[in-house]
Amino acid sequence: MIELQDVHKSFGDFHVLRGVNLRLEKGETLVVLGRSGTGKSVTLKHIVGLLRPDSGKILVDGIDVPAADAEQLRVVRRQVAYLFQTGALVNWLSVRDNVALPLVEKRTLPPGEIRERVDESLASLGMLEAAERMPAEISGGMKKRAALARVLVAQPRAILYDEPTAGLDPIMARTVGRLIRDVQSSGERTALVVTHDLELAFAVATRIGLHYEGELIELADPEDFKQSRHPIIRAFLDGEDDTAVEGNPR
Amino acid sequence: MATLKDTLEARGRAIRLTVLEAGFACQILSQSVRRLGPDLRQRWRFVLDQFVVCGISPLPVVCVVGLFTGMLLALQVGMELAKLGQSEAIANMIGVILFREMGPFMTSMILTASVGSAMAAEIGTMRVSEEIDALECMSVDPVSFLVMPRIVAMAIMTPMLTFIGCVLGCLGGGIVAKTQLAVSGSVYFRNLLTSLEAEPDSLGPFPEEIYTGLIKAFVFGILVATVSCAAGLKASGGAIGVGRAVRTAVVRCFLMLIIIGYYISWMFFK
Repeated sequence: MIELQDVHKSFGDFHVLRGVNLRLEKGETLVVLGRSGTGKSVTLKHIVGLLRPDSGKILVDGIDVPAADAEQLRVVRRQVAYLFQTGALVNWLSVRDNVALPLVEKRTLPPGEIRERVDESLASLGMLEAAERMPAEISGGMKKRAALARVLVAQPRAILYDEPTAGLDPIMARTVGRLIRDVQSSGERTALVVTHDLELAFAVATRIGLHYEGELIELADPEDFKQSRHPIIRAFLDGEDDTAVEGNPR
Repeated sequence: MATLKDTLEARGRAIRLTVLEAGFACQILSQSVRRLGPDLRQRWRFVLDQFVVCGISPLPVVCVVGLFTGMLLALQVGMELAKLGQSEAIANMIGVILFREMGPFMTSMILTASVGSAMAAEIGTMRVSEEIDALECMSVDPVSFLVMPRIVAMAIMTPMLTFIGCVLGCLGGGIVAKTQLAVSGSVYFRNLLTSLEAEPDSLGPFPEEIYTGLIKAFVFGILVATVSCAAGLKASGGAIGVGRAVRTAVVRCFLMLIIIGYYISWMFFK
């Protein structure tokens, strides 16, 4: 469903992606681990067309995203939703209006149905009571849940999670992990999660990879990944400084 | 030490960037105009919010500045006219200067400082905190959602505020004329109304001065909103980037107001 072929991207002299290859099948939950600043979020932004690669192909259901016109991009973005690290709620709209936004903008549903679907989405994440509050009045965890409700209300076929537990306390991080598992439980929805949270990764993944120096250096089942002999993966899993690893270019 | 080549390259880059950003501002203005038909009805709530931000919030400042500008103008010009024994002509000058030039310029400066800078900061913050990326991911057009309501509100509110500021300026001039220049109120207002009377060939009930001022204010309103929103949309690099966007918006608005103001006057009164 989602495929990246030899994707390269530089910002000035900084070569962030150095040939990323990735294939994401329907219903799977792929977790990409990696240290901060290794280009994990940049990879996600390429999939929804927020960034254009310098070279390489990005295909979503056969649509070449970098070459897509406005209508094709709309189709891609209807199918693939993006959960931003901060939630990225519109700060002058209430939680309810934020969640309703994708449906209101689509202009195909009557107001009654929009309200019904928004309430359903908010209720499924325990956010109905905070529906009339403004983003500035709710906690970080609630913002994440509201943002997830906004993503789910549009019923996308795939969700890209950008550091879903960043900045949350351990209890809230586990709650978010549980929510992702629940969302994925139907097996119908594809997910790509980028994180450096190992607990979350092993809780939700059907496959795990490590993003390192602009490339995905391993993609394996969670158990195989855990047992990997790759020195960079071992260093990451053991929380060691990978600059000491033999063969590290840094 | 920077060589001549480095200096020329830096200047060239700055000019290229300015041209690109001017092009971007024109692009969002044209997109906003195109979105008016299909999107305005859906966004009426945001437009009403912007009416409050652009029209009601700056009203007290516009009133005070308008009043005192009229008083100041009357004091300075009146003293010179008194030397020539022409104190009674003060009303004619105040009316023409305020409605034709000072009113739109003064109001737009106030709106640039208070509303334009806030627009650049608000949209810039949305840009750096990924809110605009999130809108794009939901296929929400940021120009239609954020820029168009602001341009519509500024285009409507700037002429209204200009008119109010000018009326108060004339009132302030009248107060100074009576208290400092010994011109009676009835003479002042009779002369003021005479100076603002429509010519026989005028297009409507008002003289050219008022139309020119209101057209200027309309153009200035669109200009301030467009330049400020464009600066906000181009913000990058966190809080520093937002600060830079606000500074860029204010400086460009001030420069554009004075340059475009001159050419509008030139078109009407050449």
